Amino acid sequence: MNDATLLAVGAAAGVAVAQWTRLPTIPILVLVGLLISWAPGIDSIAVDGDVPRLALAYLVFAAGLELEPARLVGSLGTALRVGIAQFVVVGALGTLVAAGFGIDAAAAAAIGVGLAGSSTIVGVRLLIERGQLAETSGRVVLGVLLLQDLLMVLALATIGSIATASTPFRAAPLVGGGLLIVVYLLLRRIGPRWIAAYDDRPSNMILIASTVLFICTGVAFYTGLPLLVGAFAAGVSLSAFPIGGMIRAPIASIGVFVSAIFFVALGGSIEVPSPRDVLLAGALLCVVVMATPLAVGVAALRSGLSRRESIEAGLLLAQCGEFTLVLAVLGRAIGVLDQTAFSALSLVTVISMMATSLLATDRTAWWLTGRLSRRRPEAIPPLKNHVVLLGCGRNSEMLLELLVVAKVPLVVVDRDPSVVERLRDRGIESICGEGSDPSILEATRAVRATAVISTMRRLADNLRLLRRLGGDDEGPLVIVRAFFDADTQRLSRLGAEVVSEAEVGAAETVLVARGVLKSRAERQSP
Amino acid sequence: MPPDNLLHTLGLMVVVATALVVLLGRFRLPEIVICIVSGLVLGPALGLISLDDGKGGDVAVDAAIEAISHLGIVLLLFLVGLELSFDRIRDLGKVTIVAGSLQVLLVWLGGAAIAGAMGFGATEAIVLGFATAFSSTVVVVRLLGERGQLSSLHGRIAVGILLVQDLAVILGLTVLHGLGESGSLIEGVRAMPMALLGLGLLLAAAIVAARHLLDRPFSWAARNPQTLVVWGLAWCLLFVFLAEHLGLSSEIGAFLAGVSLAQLPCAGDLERRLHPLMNFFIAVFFVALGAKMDPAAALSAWPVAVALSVFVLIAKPAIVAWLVARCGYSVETCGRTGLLLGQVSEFSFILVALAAGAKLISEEASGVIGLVGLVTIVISAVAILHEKQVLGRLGDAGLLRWVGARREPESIPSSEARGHVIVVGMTGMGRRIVEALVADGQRVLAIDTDPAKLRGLPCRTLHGTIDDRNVLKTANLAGASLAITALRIEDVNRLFAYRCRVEGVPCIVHAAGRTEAIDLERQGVEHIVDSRMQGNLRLIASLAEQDVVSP
Repeated sequence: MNDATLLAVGAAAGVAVAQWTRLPTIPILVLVGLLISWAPGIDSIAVDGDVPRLALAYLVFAAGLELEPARLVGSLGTALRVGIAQFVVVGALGTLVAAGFGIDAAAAAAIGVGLAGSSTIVGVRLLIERGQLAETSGRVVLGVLLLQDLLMVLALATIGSIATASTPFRAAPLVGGGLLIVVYLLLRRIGPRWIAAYDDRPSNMILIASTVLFICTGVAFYTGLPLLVGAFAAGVSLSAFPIGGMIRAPIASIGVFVSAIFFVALGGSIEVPSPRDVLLAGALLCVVVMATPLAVGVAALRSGLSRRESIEAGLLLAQCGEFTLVLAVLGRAIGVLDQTAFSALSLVTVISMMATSLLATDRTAWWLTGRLSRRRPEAIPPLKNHVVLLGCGRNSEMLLELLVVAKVPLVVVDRDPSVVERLRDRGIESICGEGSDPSILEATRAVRATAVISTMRRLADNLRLLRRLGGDDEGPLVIVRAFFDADTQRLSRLGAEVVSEAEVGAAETVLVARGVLKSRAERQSP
Repeated sequence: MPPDNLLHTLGLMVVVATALVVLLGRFRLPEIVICIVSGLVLGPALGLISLDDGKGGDVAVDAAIEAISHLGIVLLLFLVGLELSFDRIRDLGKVTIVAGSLQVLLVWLGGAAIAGAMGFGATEAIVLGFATAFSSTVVVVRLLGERGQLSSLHGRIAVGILLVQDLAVILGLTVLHGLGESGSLIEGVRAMPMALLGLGLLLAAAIVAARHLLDRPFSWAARNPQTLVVWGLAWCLLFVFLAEHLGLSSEIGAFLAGVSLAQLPCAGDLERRLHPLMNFFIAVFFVALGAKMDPAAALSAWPVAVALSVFVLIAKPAIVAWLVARCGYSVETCGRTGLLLGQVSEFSFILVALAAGAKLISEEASGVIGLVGLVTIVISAVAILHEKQVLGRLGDAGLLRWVGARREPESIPSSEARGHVIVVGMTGMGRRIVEALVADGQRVLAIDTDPAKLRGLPCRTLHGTIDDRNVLKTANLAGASLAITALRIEDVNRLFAYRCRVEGVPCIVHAAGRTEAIDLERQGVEHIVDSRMQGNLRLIASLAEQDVVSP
């Protein structure tokens, strides 16, 4: 079987396993490559040849396309604080551990930087699966991931400059950087008008995207900058709305193709690890899965995120990423990393990516939240026959006013300290925390309330709440919202009064307003 | 990075081709022509790249560009196969076999007669005539795709004839391979039954797989776009591998792999997702083709090249049109099919290269086909793009009358929807909207990336992602009366709203939170489904019902 067929069949098996087990694809593809290379009669697959380098350029370009500045609006400050704290702490610890194993300073520093980068692909996938992309914590995680990508590219540029140190024109990198900024500004200015005109011709769109990629990598090459800096700059230049969205779809098919080739080939180039390699990988893995949640959690907590959000963010970022693998390949190619360091970094990335899918769960987040609770929630005056409102965001203002006007004894729980402060200023009893946290529910005396109204969106939170309060005839009335039929049934079984079909109702309202549908009243009238 | 590195060569090819596409595109020149011209500029004219099979450039780079070009052709044939369900093949079997085989024979004889009459020996004339008998699948399929005519009647007949031609090419290549290896014509002819046996085996494998093997696994794979694309490519390369080992061309393997998948519901989505990949590789193929051309070598035999080019541009379409007319098709279909096939094929270059390698023909004769290829591909591509004007003028001059076809055009039911409502994302909300609209008597098209979510809906469905422009073309967004997205993916919703505004289609977008709703309002979206707000309104109503607050 020729190489291309072998890689494709291996990649097909890999993505199938990933889909079946719901594990991330990249580590599975690397493992498939590893298995292929161990099969009898198969030579090692070259990962630093021309074609994998081309694949790498497209991968980095695709990563740059994701760096849309608008995505960071509102969470930039927090993301910067959390991202820098994580990068510095994990990077430093990783360097120290690697140096402790007798690895020279440059290689240890490269390993440290490699460990500090999390996986944008894994993180974004988990955020989408949990519907957290639009939440504050989701935006912070996204911002940290994008910052890490940027720092990783700078690190790659530094490592790459070791290889191109003999470039005759020493001032050229500065000129190159300037030229790339000119390309960026030019495309931001003319892109929306010029490139968007080709939206109805997708075949041209892929040529245009590839042209920007090759121009930027060309500028990088001729001015002594690493190739990947050019590829990343090309992606960032095209990332703004709507161009980024138009280009992402055609580039996606190339991305799938090249990532399958690259990561299977990368797996094929890993040698059987020695006991020392395994030991080093184990130590580095401990740094990633323990130091990352700690550094992120503390920084996020200090930046105003709730305890649970901070822990969740830490767990979501506790893995090495695709850029770690790129760094490993580049580092080995130019002699900064030896085979031991390359294998260790690859193994840590594969294992930590898979571990994230298993560890970054609601259950782990709550377990850690409970364990790390050092102080009990603020006490409120003893209440009886009151109403507990869990969650008081912008959408719940109308509901809050209704309860205030009706003079219902009320306790509000919200995770945002500023909301709690504002409510307290109005004389409304409020507690800062998670609505489904047992200690918070206890503090609100929810079991003695007339009603507990949950505006929490996540099903897991509402299920947790109902397991605590539902199903008891003498307990409070628990009112929750549901967005799917299956959720309604599950929540009802636990004793909730479910306000269902909120989304359907919303859609119906708009359809009726537009005159597409008749209103319910019109439909019911003869 | 050395100057002869793959990225450098590929970069030059892509940048120059794109620049010329942007500059010359406004003159309505076909992209294929522009790509070939780019290759001519980069190769023979300026000497910036050298792809002369390692003679002048870097061997590894040549091999990589060759591999990318070859992958482009393989993907193109795979996508052609993906368009052809068994029903369509059954539909057009007779006309393609009759017209395809007779056309190859007649054009072969005609081309050989011209070459012989103009001074070439018998063997050279036979090879040159054979090389002119084939039309370019790449050019025809690409131009049909650009014009959205791959599913049209004349498009399907032309593709069918091209496939019959491909079979003839395989036989020709098999003979020439035999000649190249053994130097004996008899050995070459002996290899033919084996090739036919291989073709039968591969065809049987494709049919069995399509009927009994692929449906369930690919339905499962289609739930994740990444899995679908990788599985599709792996299936294609597996068939290419088998075809090569059975002595067939990789193109036939790719085509049969596509046909076997064409029977599945996910075929359309797979085709759309692989299209950009094919477009990129095929552009490289055409630039490389231009860069490899040697116009100077052929100029010494320019009278033969001109005569053969005129023959290919005029007589070949006429022969095709006459043969299609004999199968009962209208003058319009015959004319359009004929016009599509008025050029030589990329296989013609391979055939003459093999024949030159086997010392059957001279370098001069080989150069003639290069020049004929350049001239006919460029002129025929322009003619296809202006087919209405070309056929109109031919009709006015009475030249189409002799074809003897009936005048009434075929009545083809229009499948293009207009005035429909597009609903994207079959979440609970999306499904309810579809049901409500259908109950209200509206014509609805439901779109989702997961085929399982589209099953059982009481309306037309389309499997695909809406950030892909081709999906919106298939859905005929421009003709829709309303578009609704029930998705919770912010980026995709924003892009969809933007495209709806460009097309002038009213759009309702789901916002999964207030921040998103504000972003969409800023973008000018008039109707936003703010489900959280609506949920809270219902919550208030529920409180009143439960006597928690006064009504």
